Order: sequence, then structure tokens, then C-alpha cells
Amino acid sequence: MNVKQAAEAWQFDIPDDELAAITPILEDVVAKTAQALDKDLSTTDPIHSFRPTGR
Amino acid sequence: MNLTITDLAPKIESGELSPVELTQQVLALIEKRQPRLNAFITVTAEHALAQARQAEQEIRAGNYRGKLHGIPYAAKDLFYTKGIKTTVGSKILGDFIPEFDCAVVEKLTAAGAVMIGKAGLHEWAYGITSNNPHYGSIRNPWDLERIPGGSSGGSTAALGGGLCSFSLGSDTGGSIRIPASFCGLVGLKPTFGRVSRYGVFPLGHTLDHAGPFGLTVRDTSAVYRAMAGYDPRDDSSADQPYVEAKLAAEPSLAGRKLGIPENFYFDDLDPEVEAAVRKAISVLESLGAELVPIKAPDIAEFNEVARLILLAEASSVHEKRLTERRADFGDDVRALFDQGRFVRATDYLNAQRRRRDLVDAFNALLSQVDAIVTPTIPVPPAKIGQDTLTIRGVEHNVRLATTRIVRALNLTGLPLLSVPCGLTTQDLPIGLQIIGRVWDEAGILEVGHAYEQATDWHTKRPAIATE
Repeated sequence: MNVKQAAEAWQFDIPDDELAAITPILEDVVAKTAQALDKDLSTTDPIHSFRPTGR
Repeated sequence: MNLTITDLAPKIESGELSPVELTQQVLALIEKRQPRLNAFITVTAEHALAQARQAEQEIRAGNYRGKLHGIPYAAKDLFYTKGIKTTVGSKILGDFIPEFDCAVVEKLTAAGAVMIGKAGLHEWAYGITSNNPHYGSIRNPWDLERIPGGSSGGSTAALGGGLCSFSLGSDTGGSIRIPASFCGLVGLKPTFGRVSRYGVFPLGHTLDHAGPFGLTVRDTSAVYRAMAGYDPRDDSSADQPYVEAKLAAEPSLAGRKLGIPENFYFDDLDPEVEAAVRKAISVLESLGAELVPIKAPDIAEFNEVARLILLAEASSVHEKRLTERRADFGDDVRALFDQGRFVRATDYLNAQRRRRDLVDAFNALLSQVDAIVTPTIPVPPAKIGQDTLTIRGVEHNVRLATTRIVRALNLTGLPLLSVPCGLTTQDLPIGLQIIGRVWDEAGILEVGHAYEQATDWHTKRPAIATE
């Protein structure tokens, strides 16, 4: 992910210095979670799924 | 003054101790110690005295409501309190006054407890230091230069500092267990769905839990009993029967199997923490518990899953405020909220799918043992403003090191208890974490209570609490 481009595309309006500070952290999160999510999860329901009964 | 519920309740019931006088004494102590501890954002003196007067009248009239009647407590300042400012540790909600009480405060009011104040916290409950840019740093009663932990740091600074008999916290990635461990207190994160979150300001809606802090396991159990129960106003609330913990006078763990992880949980520990926890485990064995070596799943991987889920959930709560009130966030939490805006929806959902693997793994482990025992935090509390710390010669980030053991467990929703199990050579508290089966708060309270009966760590108080 190009964090700067994403921030501009989504109009997050984050100052450059703050964006620069979080970019390496975000890259770290993305890299580590990519490893954790690298599985076939297609038949697993996410936790906290929708219930048609509402409450 | 001994502020345990166990000590105060019989005196209040018998009329030997006046709830009004008790409240006045506690308010006087707050006046004296608050400037050093900074435990409270709001001290609710008039409210507390009114509740205490009502309690006194009721007890004199023969209407004693139970162990919490007339007992002073502090609520983390994200529990909604009708007519009383609830800031969530933020500047943005600095003047917010809810129009209703949260479910937990409703229950405690019904039990006759006396709320003496709203305790400080890490801004928006999103951090572990409780260094709050808007309300100041909260101090650890054991060492005023150190953090009390967070995010429920004011709740444990107040309780550990001898300013109340119990307090309330919330735990999204360790925010009950971290400050309990750092302040030498008992902290219970109940099973997800056990305690209503109605009127508790959210951080991560699939990870948030409300729970109590106490000076002893028996006290904590009494408060938990009052807090627990189904609430249709909370989507996550579960209609499960409450099971009373059997807190025996004679400690015994005969017939109980306790899982001791062989991997992850004992890696990278401060040597004094490891020694204290190993010793605590030997005490549990001496009480008759069978120790069973177990292999935990890859917690480091699930810490990342938890991190991603929390980033997304927390940012979704604050998206609009980040746009409209950006300058009114503290730097550290604003950076976290910004990070969460970049999490892809598909990653969030797949993280919620992956989470089931951890739930399944822990449920499988807990089908072989009654509970699992680990350290609560790998390290003693850091100094205020300290960003890194060293464990066995290796430098670590304070936040990541502090949350390393506790964070992923919020993915499971399992009940978790932290009890004091030692002090370092610098007199800094160490905690023992007990992980229970789903809905088995009673089981972990019983293990914690047996441990307490065999040791005296829960009787240790910092100097500020006894002056």
C-alpha cells in the first residue's frame, strides 16, 4: 500500500509529518497481518456475524 | 484504614461503621493524595455523600442490601453516569454529561455502593500508560515516577492508593490486567458477554469487556457478582447462568489441572517477573494442583490479528471526530486512529475469521485443563515517559512489551484474572494471570483465592496507601 496515495485518495487530510510517522508502523502492520491472514478462510464465518434476530 | 469490602461490610451491616463517616474519611484521603496520584478526573463528593446518607438510613431501618451497601468505589471515566461528567479521558468529551447511567453503575447503585469519583484513563482508553495529555499523567501508587498501566490507570491508582474499596475498568487489549498487575491489585476480565457494556464508551466493540478491580479475590468476586448478568440493551450480552465461586477458607487445589505453557508466555520475561511467577506456580502445585505442560498457539501472530481488528474498530468510532476535531486528540492516540483508517475492510473481516482459530485452540487446551497460568505482564511498570525498556539485554518498545501476553487473549473472550504474586527488588508489583474456560469466572476466582490464602502478596500496600 502506498500510504500517501491512499491518504490523498481518501481525503484523510493528515499532515505530511504525521503521515510520515505512521507509514512505517502501517507497513509493519500490513506485513505481519498478511502473514497471519495467508490462509484459506473462505468458509469461516467472521466473529460477530450478523444475526437475523437483531438482538 | 483497611478498605477491603470483607473488612468493611460486616461493620457497616452491624452499624459499627457509618457509611457517611466512611465516605467522609475517603474524601479526606482523596483530597490529600489526589495531587500526587492524579487518579481522578472528577471527584463526586456531593453525589457520594448523598448515596452514603441514603445507605445509612436504609441500614438503620433494617434494609441492608448486601456486601456492597455503603462501600466506596471509583468508576473509570468511560462508564456513563447520569448527570455526572464522563470524559473518556478526552478533551472532546470534556463537558459531556450523560443522560443515563450505564448498566454496571445501575447495578452497583441498586446494590447500595457509593461512587466517590470518575477515575482517569488513557485518552479514549487507547493506550497502556495512562499518560493523558488533557488531564495529566496518572501515577503508580508504588512509585510515583512510574506508570500505573492502562488504560484503566486511574481506577488502579485510586484503589492501590487507598482511596476506595473497589473500582471499575474496561479491557480491550489488557486494560484491566495491565494496571492490576502494575499496581499490585486483583483484576478480572469476565467472559465476553458476561457483564453488560450498555453505556460504556466503546474502543473496539468485539474486544471490549467491563470488569472489576479489588484488593483481594474475595472482594473482586463480590463486585463481579453485582456486575454480572444478561442485559438485552447490549448486543453482546449473553443470557448465561451466574455461577458463584466457592472461596474456601482452607486453600486447596486438589483435583484441578492447571496448564503451564511451554512456549511464548515465558519467553522474554524480566528475570524477577519470571522468578516470581515460577514460584507462584510452585505454590499452586503445593496446594494440590496438577501442573500440565501445554503448547500454546502462535500468540505473536494473533497479537497482530488483534492489533489489526482494534485499529479498525477504534478508528470507526472516531472517524468523524478525526476530521472535525483533529487538533483535540492527543498525539499518540491520533496516530493510532489514523492508522486504523487505512485498514482494508477485507483484512478486517479476514482477521475476524482468523480469530476463530485462536478461540478453537484455547477451547481445545481448556478441555484438557481447568485453567492456564501465565505471567500477566513480562516486565515491571516503566517510568513515566519511558519509551523503551531492556529485557535480558535486549531493547523493547514499552507498549509492545507490556501488551505482549495480554493482547491476543481478548480475541478469545475467555475469562482472565490477574492476582499479585510478588514484588521486585524495587518494590514494583508483579502479576499472575489465570485463564479460564468460557463462563468459568468462578473457576479462576477459586484458583486465585486459593493462591491468596497461601501467600501474602495481596496484603502488601504501597506507602502512600497507609500514610
